[in-house]
Amino acid sequence: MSRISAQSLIALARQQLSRGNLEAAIQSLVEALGIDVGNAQAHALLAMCLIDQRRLTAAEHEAGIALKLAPEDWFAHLAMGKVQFARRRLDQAETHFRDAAGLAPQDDLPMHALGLLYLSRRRMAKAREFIEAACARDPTEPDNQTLLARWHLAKGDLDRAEALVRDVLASMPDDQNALIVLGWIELRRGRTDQAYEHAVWAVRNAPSDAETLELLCAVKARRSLLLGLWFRFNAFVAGSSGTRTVLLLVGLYLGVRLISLALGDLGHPTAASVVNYAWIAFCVYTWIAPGLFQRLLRKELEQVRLRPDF
Amino acid sequence: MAVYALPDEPRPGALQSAVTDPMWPLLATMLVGAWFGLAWFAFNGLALGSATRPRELGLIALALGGKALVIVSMVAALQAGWIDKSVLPYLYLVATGVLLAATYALYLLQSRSFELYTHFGGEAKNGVVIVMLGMAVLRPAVAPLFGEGFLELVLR
Repeated sequence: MSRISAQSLIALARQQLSRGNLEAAIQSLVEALGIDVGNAQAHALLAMCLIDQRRLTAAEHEAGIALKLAPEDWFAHLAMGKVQFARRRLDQAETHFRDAAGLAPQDDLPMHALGLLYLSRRRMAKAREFIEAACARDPTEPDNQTLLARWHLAKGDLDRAEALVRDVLASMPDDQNALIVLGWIELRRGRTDQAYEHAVWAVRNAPSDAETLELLCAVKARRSLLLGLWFRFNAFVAGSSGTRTVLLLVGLYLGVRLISLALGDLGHPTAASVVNYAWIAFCVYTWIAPGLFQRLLRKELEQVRLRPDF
Repeated sequence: MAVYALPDEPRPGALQSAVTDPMWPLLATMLVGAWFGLAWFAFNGLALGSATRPRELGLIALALGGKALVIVSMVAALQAGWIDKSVLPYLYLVATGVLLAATYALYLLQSRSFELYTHFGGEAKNGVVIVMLGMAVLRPAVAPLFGEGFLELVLR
């Protein structure tokens, strides 16, 4: 009885995911696991959801439980592979994706994951092999078409990439990945206004997505070098991991203190004070910069109007 | 129905009403003193029911222990005649760097729990008054108790 209930909750979670309701899906899966804590499928699907929320520690924990419960489950391997890919542990990700592909040779998802992994490693021939395998297994899946477009974009075949991605957008105008790829294509063609429209549309769908912000920064940089640098710096400061920012700030602090001490010892107390005040101004800026950046981003989103022919 | 708990989700208890954004303990570490800021981090972790509390406590120990170790090494090197007294302010920067790096790491770690806490509707107190009081009242009252020796250097 309880197993049936857990299964129906997992099915509900899949429906919620297909509608893009990530939080509701997580809630359904948590409820499913409350009924049947030994359900590998629920743990693996929950891991996938947690990756999308960037909760990688919890995602790794859930994928680990799924693999422990069902070492031969391809979906559990896929989930663990995606966690490792998100953590940039590419060798481990490749192993899990290959295990998943071996266990489910007819499914397109492991092929897609391998294609994406090899594309990120710039191993183009291998990437194409797996992307085409994914497309052959499910030719209607927009993610597979968009990944193929990415491959063509990376190879510089803009016409082919654009044709593929416009095909996807014709049926799914809000597809985040397709919008980003089209934005990069427009930028490569030098059509910054169109690239900007796609970037902003994508930011509207996912305001904190790193790849989307990267595209927006690139468009800004193309329009104005200074503004581009400013955007890039803010995207860095407001970035998700924070570790780089901490290292930058601690390193800068120590550097500034060192210079200030040395200037004082060398008999330049005024210069030492200037350095100290400049540092305080920088600190204040870094505290308020993420908020300012988000506000500016919101302003950009309010300003954008899609062309009628989009 | 049994409730499945996700491993990274905080489980706040009776002290929930005292939860603050970890940004405030971080500021307090810089503006009031390590003794106050780090104690606040530990309390905030407890109030949040942070899933990463053991690691947070480990980072607090690392911040204070690491700084103490650098200072002890400095004093030992000075007494052995390996370094000149004029180099001490420069070497003290290393101690400050260790404290800052561990405190920032602590801030990032606790921020993840705090974000999840607010994501699920948890309310947080504004810590600005505590930081101000710490600077204006606590720091002048407590800091002299540490004297002017090793304890003061580590805890300030």
